[in-house]
Amino acid sequence: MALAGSPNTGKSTVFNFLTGLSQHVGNWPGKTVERKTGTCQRGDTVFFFVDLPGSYSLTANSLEEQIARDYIIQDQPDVVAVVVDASSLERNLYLVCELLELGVPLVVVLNMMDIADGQGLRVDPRALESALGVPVVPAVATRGEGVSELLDAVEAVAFGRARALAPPPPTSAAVRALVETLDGMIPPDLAISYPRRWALVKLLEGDRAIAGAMKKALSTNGWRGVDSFLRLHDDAILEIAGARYEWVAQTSQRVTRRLEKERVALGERADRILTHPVGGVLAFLGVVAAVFWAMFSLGIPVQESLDDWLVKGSAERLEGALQGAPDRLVSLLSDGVIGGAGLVLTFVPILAILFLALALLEDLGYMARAAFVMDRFMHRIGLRGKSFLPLFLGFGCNVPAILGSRIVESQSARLTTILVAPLMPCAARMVVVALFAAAFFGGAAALVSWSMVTVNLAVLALMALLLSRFVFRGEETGFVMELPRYHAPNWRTVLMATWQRVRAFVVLAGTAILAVSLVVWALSSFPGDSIQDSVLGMIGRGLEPAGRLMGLDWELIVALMTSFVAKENTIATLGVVLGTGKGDVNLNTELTHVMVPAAAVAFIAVQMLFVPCVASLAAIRRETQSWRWTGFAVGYMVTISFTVGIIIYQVARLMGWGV
Amino acid sequence: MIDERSEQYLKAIGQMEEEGEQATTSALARSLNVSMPSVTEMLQRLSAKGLVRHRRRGPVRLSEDGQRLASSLIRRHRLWEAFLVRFLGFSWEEVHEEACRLEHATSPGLEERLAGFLRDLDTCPHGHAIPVAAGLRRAEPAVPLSKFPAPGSARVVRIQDETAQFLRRLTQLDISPGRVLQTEGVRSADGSVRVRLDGRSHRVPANVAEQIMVQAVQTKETAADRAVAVTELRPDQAGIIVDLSGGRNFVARCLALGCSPGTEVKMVHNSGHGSLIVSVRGARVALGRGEAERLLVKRVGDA
Repeated sequence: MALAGSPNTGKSTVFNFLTGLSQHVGNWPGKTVERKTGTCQRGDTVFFFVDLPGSYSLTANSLEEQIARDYIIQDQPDVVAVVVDASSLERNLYLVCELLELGVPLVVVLNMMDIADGQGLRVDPRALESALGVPVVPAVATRGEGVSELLDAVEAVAFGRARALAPPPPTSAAVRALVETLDGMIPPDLAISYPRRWALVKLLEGDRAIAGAMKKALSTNGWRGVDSFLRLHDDAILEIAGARYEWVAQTSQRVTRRLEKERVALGERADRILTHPVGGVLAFLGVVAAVFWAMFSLGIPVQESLDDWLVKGSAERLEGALQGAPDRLVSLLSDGVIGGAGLVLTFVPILAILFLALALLEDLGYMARAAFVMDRFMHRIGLRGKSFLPLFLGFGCNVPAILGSRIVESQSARLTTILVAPLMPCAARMVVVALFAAAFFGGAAALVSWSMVTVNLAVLALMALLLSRFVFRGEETGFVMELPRYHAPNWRTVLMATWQRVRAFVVLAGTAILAVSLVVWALSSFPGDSIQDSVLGMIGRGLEPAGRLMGLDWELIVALMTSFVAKENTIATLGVVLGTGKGDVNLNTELTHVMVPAAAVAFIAVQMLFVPCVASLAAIRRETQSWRWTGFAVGYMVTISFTVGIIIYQVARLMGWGV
Repeated sequence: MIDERSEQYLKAIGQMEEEGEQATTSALARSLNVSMPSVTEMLQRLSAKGLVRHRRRGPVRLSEDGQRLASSLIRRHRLWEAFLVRFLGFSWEEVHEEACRLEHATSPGLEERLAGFLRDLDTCPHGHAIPVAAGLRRAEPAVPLSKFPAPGSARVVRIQDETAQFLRRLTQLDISPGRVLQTEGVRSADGSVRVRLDGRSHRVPANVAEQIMVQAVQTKETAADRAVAVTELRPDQAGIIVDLSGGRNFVARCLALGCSPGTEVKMVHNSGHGSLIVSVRGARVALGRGEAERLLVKRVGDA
């Protein structure tokens, strides 16, 4: 069976209660939308659930709604359970109305009965049941109430013991007349994969997917007639939606009694501050600061001790344990496996804190407010308010920025966020910048680092703007967003979301990131013994002519390439290739011997804008579900970084600065 | 005696002369839905019969004989339309096609009897003047609704497209000759025109507005029934949605969130710039300013 419902109706909470830890989280095939499935056993019956993406209607306005609709129509689940918010029945019944029109076996979960009660609303489930003609189950999902009754109802429907098909709600005469006419224009035996009458209504609503299917199925002339009719009635959607709301209003009035006068909710007062143009921004920055603080003060120490214990410690223990074993094997395990994927794993605590914070803010209902206040600023660079938080977190590490972009609802804004996130100057890159700046510029180091950050942010803004203007144009729904009611966080939902995201990251580290780390390790250790004689060293030498344009020797090119595994590697590699670290040579002084200041600035700039680390790339691949977009990210970053590097060095050389 | 095809050409040229338009080859091809070469060929035949005067590349003009024939055809057509509507209970949507068939089978005698019988009528149901026996006259001056300067009051004079499908759409919009409507402006995005009729607000699509000929009339207007963008509401003021427009996705999303015409919205947050928040059907919805300008409301009493 499938679980449908609008966002913020407690659908996930119901799903979590039903399926517990049996959940499987993946993506819808080829889509960037999360697909959750799970099972639940009771007696001899095993229920298989699919959690459909939150949707307000069945018109394909967003990817989420299209996926939900296609699943219901094409996969034909035995039962569709639709979760509605009892305290906001009027708006939630719209989706129910559409599902009834579609004619699928339906069970309505009347959730948030406690909140409705608190607001002085009495919703009568029996009255709703008789008004709709399908089973209605009252529930308080946060407390698990109604969940077993839901299973009863679903079981009864699935085994044909209860009626779950009701006639579609009546529509207006005007809509009926339009549908009749359209019906007459389309051959009665036309084969389309949607219920005919429903498809006709969707055509009138201007649904592009249905129009596309119809265009393919009809002759050119036939479609031209239909198309001109639809153009003539291009405002039919208003009439159709109006008729639905008329039914919705009547139904909800019949089943709801208001016992008390409406009160000004606490949330309304909170909103006066949280959505205020100034107060809201301040409040938001406070929240961001708190998240950052938690990440650094709680996460970093844990990360560091993990690093000591897991990466360095186990590498040492390994070397001890494997004494006598071939050097290659030791190197593979300690540098390849532990130094690559192991290092990435030490970030798990930081990510866990971040994901927990995101899930908590989302569940509280604050995220929509944050998006609202930041939209003003993000809008200018073609992004949405919700993109701000994940991007900002990129200052710490790009991986959470990319994984965190899930909170951005619009598909194109989400992709843009993911693609520009690697341009956020992450902490690891700042380490490298700090080292170079200190070695070359002494007192001006802070200024140099600061300008590098500025360059990165400027490139980010520019890329975001270009992407939204040229690549994703015309896909926007515009900024229309529901501000959900504030409510106390449901820990089950929050922890479940955190757990799922952390687990996804661990899986990523254990598979894709490990594989790439091993490949880079192999490239840097074969055929010779040291990195100078390796494939990587050879590539570095091969690329030297390009490096020359930026004033860089092959050693630095190699360092740049090893930074692919982790940005900090730049320093370690330089230590190896420049022969430092043996006590007598200092990396800082050695660096000033091999390159001029102009080249150093060029190198820092390239480093800042270069292809992100393997963990980020794996995250991009996972989130975009596309090699094409991952390749695009790599391509544009290589191009931009080299261009900027060459420009900096050449301009400096021409002007005679720092050479 | 000439054939039906020729009669259709004469009628089309006659109608263009009535409107004061130039009957060019391409205009005729468009109006009769035929190819340009077939128009040229037919014009040569009509020219040979002395019914039209036609120079290469120039507009066609009816000769005196042609005028008489065209006028008579148009007269019969409009008389039949008027007759069918008034005495046989046809709707104005159905009569054009009936009259097209009847006009060719009408003798001069029948035409005169009909004209005498319908003496008191001077237009057809679509608002076109019924020619007098003396011949075609220039039609009453009017402009398409799509070109009418807004805001203002306009009286519908006549409808150019007489196909059943088109007229059914007008019936639905409650637009017919003689009606007075308040125009509220053309929307640049798709050329549609917003009009108010008996206090109700409609949006007339661009291709419909082009076919409605109107004249300016003087009426007094009250500011209260004019629709304003929802951005004009101050916090705690309320309005009833009269229209929303914009991209498909935007309209559908608004509707799904409860913003359907006829719904009351209350402004929650509007700082004069940037996004705003409205309360609709018990939920709060945040709208970008650009988006909110496409949501039109009629104010209700200040709260």
